[in-house]
Amino acid sequence: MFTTGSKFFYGLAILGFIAAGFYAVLTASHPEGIWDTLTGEGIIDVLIGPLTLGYKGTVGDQLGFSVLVGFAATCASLGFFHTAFRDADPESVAELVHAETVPVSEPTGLSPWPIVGAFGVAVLLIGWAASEVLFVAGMVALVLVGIEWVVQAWSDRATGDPEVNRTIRNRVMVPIEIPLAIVIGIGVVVLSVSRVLLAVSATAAAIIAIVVATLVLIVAFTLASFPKLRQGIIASALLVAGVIIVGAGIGSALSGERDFETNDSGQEEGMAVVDHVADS
Amino acid sequence: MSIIPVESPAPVLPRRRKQLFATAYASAGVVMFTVALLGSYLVQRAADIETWLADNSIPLLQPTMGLFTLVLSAAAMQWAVYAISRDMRSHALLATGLTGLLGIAYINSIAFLYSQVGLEMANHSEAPLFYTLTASHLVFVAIGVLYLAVMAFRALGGQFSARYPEGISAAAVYWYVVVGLYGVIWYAVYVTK
Amino acid sequence: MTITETRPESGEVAGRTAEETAGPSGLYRLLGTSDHKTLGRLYIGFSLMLLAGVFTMGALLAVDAVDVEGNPVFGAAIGPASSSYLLGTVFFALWPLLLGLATYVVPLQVGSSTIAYPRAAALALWTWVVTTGVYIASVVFGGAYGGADDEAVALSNVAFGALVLALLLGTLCVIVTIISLRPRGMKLNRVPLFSFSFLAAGSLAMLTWPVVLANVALAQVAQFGPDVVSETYLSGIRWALDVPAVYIVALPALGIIGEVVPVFARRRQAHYGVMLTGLGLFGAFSFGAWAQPAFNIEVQEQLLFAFMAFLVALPLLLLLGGWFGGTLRSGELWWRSPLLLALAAILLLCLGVLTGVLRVLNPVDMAPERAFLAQSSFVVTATAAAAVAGLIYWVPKIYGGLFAEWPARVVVVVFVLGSLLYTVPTGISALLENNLSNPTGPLRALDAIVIVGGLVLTVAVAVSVGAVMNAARRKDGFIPDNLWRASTLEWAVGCPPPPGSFVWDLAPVTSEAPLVDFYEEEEASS
Repeated sequence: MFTTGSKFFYGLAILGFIAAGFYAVLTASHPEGIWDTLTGEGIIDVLIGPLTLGYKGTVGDQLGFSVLVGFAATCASLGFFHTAFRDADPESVAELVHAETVPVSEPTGLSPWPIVGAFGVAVLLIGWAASEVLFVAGMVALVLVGIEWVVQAWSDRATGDPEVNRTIRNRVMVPIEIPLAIVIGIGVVVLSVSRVLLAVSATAAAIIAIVVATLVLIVAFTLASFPKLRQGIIASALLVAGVIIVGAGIGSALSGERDFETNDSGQEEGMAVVDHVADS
Repeated sequence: MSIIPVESPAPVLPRRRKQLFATAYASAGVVMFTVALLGSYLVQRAADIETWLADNSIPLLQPTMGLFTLVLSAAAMQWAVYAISRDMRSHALLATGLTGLLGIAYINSIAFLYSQVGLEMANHSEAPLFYTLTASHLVFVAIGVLYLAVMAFRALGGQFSARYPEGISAAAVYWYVVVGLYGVIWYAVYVTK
Repeated sequence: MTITETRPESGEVAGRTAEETAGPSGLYRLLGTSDHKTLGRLYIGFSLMLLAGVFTMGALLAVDAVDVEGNPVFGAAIGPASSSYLLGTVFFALWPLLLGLATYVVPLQVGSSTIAYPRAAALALWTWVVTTGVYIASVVFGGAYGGADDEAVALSNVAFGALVLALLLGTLCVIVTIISLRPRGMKLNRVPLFSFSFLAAGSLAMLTWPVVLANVALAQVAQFGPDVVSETYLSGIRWALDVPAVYIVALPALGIIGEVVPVFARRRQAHYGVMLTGLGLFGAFSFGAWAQPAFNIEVQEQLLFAFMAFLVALPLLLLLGGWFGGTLRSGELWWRSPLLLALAAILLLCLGVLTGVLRVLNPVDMAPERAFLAQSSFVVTATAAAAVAGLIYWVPKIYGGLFAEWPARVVVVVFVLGSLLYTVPTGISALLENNLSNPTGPLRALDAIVIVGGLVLTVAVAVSVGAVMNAARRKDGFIPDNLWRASTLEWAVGCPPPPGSFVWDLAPVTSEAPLVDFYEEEEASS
């Protein structure tokens, strides 16, 4: 009746319950010691405490007692689970599906979402400790990864043909992914470049803006001129460019914006001009 | 029109019990997390029994409504398990949706409670423990709602049936654990203040 | 019994959806993989580097203890450095190393072509890598427990929490593999000892480390509260690095020893059921989340704590009886490096448990902090030794090359020497500190030996890494599937296993040693 797994967890549960009772009595005892407590007037309190899970009577260290009781109850539940489901033994699983054998689990294909998710976690953590913007960015990244992951997991089992599954996944996700990726890409580039332009002097900002725009034009022209260029090269080039732009943006954001000259009223000059135009 | 070509071979059903055991072990971790926080709460409350929540009266109405909501959600969850194991997919989806909705209602009621208790983090020593314990349970309920949503999506995609009801059953195991934990929190935190 | 029921026609993988059979190559294959073998290798590679770093850090901390000419290495940062070292031993290096071995080996041991939830396993690996990086970066900016910069300390705290969560996720994948992906006939009591030990240790981790996470969450929220709690960050989780909770890490080490001993004694493991019971009991007495000094300062003086310290020795004696009284005594010993290192690990673990008993009895007034460090060092070095023994044993399977015997023996000698120099002086200093009228001189001399020990251990790990890389690079031609004539299923597939690993259906398993059954049947029939 009892499987190996259930024996292990029932054993843990029994140990946990005994330890919890023992610990509650020990920590609730007088400073003189357990013997004085058990032979004195406090015995009822000390024994009732663990028996009623602290509802009546006294329990000493409530944290240790709670953890031990929680441990014992959880192990008892896991033991019951192992008993009820026969340790998920292949024979019992095969019997369940009225088959001779159990299905073999197949390895899954490549997926970028685990590693992207891990970096999302990192951004979330840094944001949690230091910056609200990064926290939100990390959260958004994780939500997107979650959606992609769920759809991929579903499509992996849509049919028995991996190629068809890939097609199904692409039919569902590509119409969403491409516009979203473009919006995010543009947003990241704009945000990063704007941080750089705000951090450097006005002259340098103008030069950088011209250089970046020219570079984008040249690279796009070059890529368009060689339509047979390998995708790997294009992806690598874009990756390197992306890392440089985002890295420069983060670096500039950390170094802060340049000092903007202000007029007498405390407004920045540019803002004053805008106000003036608006007034007129 | 279905996006799954009818001429494609049927997928191999995943092995039974895998998701159930994974969820059971993860739920065990959730229990230990909550129990540890509860233990810390009780220790601190016993140490500061004179001043604990002395200038705050946490109303019992919202927590009790939350309890009823979650108990109802557990019944709805059982309905989903019953329905999927009898191939009543529309019932299963309806019940899963209802469970999730009741979960969101619970989150709403506790969020409203937070606006009522007037327990400020900076001024009350009991605030960090109170909020860590109750808010972490809210997070677990939110994870449960997400779990239900994912399983509902897959059920909608035809991946669960009487032959393979695993996803809904596993979500139910997690949900019952979370509901059970709230029963303990309700009694230890809100009733025996 | 036969190993296979239907062999593949030409060793090719028919009808498999394995990522190894098709798809893009290069960096994307590595970063996007969910193949348990690649994930296992990545865990092992990263964690070995971190293990070398941890031992180096231990040596540097000892330099500060010696305080040569008042010129400390860490100075005011000694608090963050020592807390990072303590956390690093278990959560950054040892458990990931064991998890790496388990991620690679366990699916093969239970006859599965994949780990359960392979993408979740990949997420766990990368999250562990990334959060380790974030933690290290936060230390550089003044974080870690006891650090000066509040924001960086908070970052260390959340990074550590996410790291523990990632390890739990990875552990869960391995546990579920053991429970639900076994082949026909392999009941849980027929699972190989390493897999069973990881199931027990993983279950205990799933029940213990969420309590660590609770303390992390509490510390994170409490920083906005009225009390200054950042000083209590470490005391809230230090119990996880102290006994009995630290024994969770030693449990898979016992499983590795359990794999190595019968193979190199060239006989079946005697009293298999007793060995499983011993591992289970060792796990049971490793539950230590109730003993948190931050909430009950006297907990380590309680009778229950003392009981646990004694009780954990019983299953260890049971296991020792099974190995020495049964298998090794009656076997034909093959003195290869995995066996030597496994025996060294047993010795170190016994010394650790003995130190624990002495800590509780305290007949000679041991210095508490040094006694804690000594016991922790014994358990850490024992686990590291067993993990390296496992690495040498499984290298042909993992990397497809041989861990040549002479560098392996160098590793054994250097590892044992380093472990003894690293641990024994700390134990002696714990005994001396409160019992000498002027302990400064002897303590400084002992700490100086610890420095040497830490550096020697670093060298041992570095040599291991070098030998593993050499094995991976050389691919020594044809290596027999079952190089050591072992009894478990991972040795039924190639070195390294082909894509999809078990590309044929396994015959039902009838005992805990399916390959030995197979050989015996073959010999009987011939």
